[in-house]
Amino acid sequence: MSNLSDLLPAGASGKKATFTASGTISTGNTVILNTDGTVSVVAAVAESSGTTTTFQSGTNNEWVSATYLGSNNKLLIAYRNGSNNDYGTAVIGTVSGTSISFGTPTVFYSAAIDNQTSCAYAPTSDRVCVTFKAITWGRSALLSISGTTLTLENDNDFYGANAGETSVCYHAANDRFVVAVRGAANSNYGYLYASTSNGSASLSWGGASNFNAGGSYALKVAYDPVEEVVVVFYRDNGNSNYGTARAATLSGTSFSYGTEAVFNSAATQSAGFLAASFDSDTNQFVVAFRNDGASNYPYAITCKATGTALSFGSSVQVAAHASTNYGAVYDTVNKKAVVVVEDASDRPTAFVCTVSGTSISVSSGFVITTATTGSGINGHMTAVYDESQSKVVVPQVNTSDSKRGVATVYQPPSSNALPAPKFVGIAQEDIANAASGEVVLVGGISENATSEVTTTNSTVYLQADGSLSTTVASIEAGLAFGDTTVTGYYLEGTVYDNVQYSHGNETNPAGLAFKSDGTKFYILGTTQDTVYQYSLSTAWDMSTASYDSVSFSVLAQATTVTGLCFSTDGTKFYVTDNGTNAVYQYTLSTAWDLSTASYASKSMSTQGTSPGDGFMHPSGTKFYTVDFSADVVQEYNLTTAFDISTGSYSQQFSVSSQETVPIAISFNSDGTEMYVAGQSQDTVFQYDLSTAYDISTASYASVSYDLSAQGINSPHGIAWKSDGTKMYIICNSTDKIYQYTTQVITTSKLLLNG
Amino acid sequence: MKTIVENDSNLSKYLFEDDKVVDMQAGQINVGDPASLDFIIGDLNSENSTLYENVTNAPADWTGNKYTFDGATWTQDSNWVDPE
Repeated sequence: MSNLSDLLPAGASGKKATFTASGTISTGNTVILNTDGTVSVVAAVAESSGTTTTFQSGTNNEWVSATYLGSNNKLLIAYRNGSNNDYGTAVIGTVSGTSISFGTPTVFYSAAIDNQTSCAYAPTSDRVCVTFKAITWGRSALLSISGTTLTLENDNDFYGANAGETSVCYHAANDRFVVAVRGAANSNYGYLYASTSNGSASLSWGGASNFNAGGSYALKVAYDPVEEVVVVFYRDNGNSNYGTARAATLSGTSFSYGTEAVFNSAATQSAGFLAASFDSDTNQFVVAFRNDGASNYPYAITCKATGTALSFGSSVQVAAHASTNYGAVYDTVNKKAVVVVEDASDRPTAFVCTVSGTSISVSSGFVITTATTGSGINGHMTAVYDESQSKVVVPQVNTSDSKRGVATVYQPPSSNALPAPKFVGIAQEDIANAASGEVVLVGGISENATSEVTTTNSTVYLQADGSLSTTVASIEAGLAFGDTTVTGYYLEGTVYDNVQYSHGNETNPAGLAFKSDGTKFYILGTTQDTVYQYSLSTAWDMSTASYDSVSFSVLAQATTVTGLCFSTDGTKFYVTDNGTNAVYQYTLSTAWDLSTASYASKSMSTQGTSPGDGFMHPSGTKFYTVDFSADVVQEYNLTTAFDISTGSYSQQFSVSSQETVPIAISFNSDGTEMYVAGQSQDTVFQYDLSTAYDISTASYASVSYDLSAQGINSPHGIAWKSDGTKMYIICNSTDKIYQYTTQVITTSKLLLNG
Repeated sequence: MKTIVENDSNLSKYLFEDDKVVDMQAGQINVGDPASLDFIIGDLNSENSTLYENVTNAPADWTGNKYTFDGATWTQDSNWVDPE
């Protein structure tokens, strides 16, 4: 077997069905099945946030923590209630879309709590363990859940002395809670405790296990379900306050430790803060922390456990401002970590972190709410992921409103195809809104997938915006196979080749055209109203260009030339002239040889008074110009192919929304894309034509390429390599030709596996 | 006024106006209008605490856990430390 097509399931080509469209669907669009049975185009879901909602009115709330309650499809927020004697209190929230509602707050500890709360959920017992510093000691409360009602099952000390901050997680493999505590009464050493049971009504704790014989501040303990270890992250006061982690296995209530591992060698005496979430796709933690060695800016790093050995990626700066409160969750639907920290105005801000290997790339921030968390005070904000709604919930105290307890739901960037399964296939035909049409279903073969597939026999993924590519994403769409068709002319992903050619013959070049095999090109100049011929020793490689010392003057006809194009066979060329508002035709007795040129005594008046570049249809039956005053593309019909004297105006298309001085025009090889550039924007704009070469069907493709990086400020001509993989721009002001490589789109058959 | 006192310690945990509804149950205490509770006290109940009503002599600086109350007399708890 040499090709995946050998593995095609029988009947795959026939797996199609007819659906009613909700919205307009085009051939090749990826589609989802809606709950009402209709289908819609797969589209991106922009990040957003809902209304900030109060869970605890009153004032001076503090020490907020939260956990998701599994199959209850709810979440729990624990906090110190400042308007009720600082008592430990918890409330259950229910997310719907980007809204959240709350049950009645329940006091779990009728005394003041004095440091960070932490909470974890045990699905086996359907109970939550909340840990906190009681008046002095480390204590836990076990809460059972019924709807939005909480019941305290028991509360219990695990550290019977003056404690610092605590952190708790659920050890799934051993079905126990594990709590980490800073032992303030024991020189701030760090300790772990494991519960003696899984969270039955009488939760109790085993003995203390010292994980760090040094001050262990800002600690967080988290569970790795793959390695079945807990990892505690902390600021190691015994080692210059470096950010440190240590993994431990659990047997009964006893821990066995790996070696301490420093993840941030930054010395500081100020408090450090962090959060950790487990990336269940790459099986490692994403740790967000305040890097006191870098202006207190938030950073993130991956942490991989192999048994109790820990390794780290390279840390990456999350934001360029100091942050104190940290939340970190893993978005299992979009396969991204989300770090929430304050921005420079103390507003909770989400940063989406994409993990690749051990590297993290961070999005620009999204301000979730204007409710502030205060400056330099921790315990004011956290984050929790609601798996049932695929949302991130950010509970906080609102320092802009007397420290009222509030929460906001954040929708990360996503797709309407998520969470799976919603993707059903690829449209086989155009389907109007509310009309019926055929869709190739999962398990079938689509030959209409229009998106990027760069390698045959490769796995293709459904991107958030509905496009298909080999970039790994949440949904594996299928396998590309069979013959591929390379198609150029895509501006997206265009790269400048760092190749430019100074032709030297003309100080005001106005037009550019290539011989069909790429071994010659021609420049039209306004200063001399002359066409010049050049050769390329390597076809289409502008770095190999040389002047042929051959030129042809059109001054006898034209006075202010603006455009140049050739017939397909190279026996004719056409010059557009703004001075006389006409197009002139010339004959080459030897194809592509300018030394054999002569005026054909044929011309056509243009519709407008400011004609720019011209373009001849490959069949010679249509001609196009741009008019840089009217900001339109104009189409002419030629009754005799390639005979410009038989041309008559047909129709026009406005490009004024993109370019107000359009000069250059070109099309792709099949006429389904049109390109316009001009002096106003110095940008190439791409237009889709639903009917080839019919500009009445044109629409802006929302795709463009900015030429200004090369210093181009007056593009006068666009030319393409015959396969569309190279683009050439001639600039009137710099007198140079610039060469670009365009994005290669390879289409192939796609076996959909959804 | 009405106050909820923990039986073991005699610490006054909550102090409410007379019209506040306080429902002492075996497993918890509900505070507020039953149709829309203010909050639930999960760690106290009718077994481990006592509700005293018509209390008229509550200290002006009352705060939770600062005073003990035996049904008649308020006494500042010897372990009490004013928060910083």
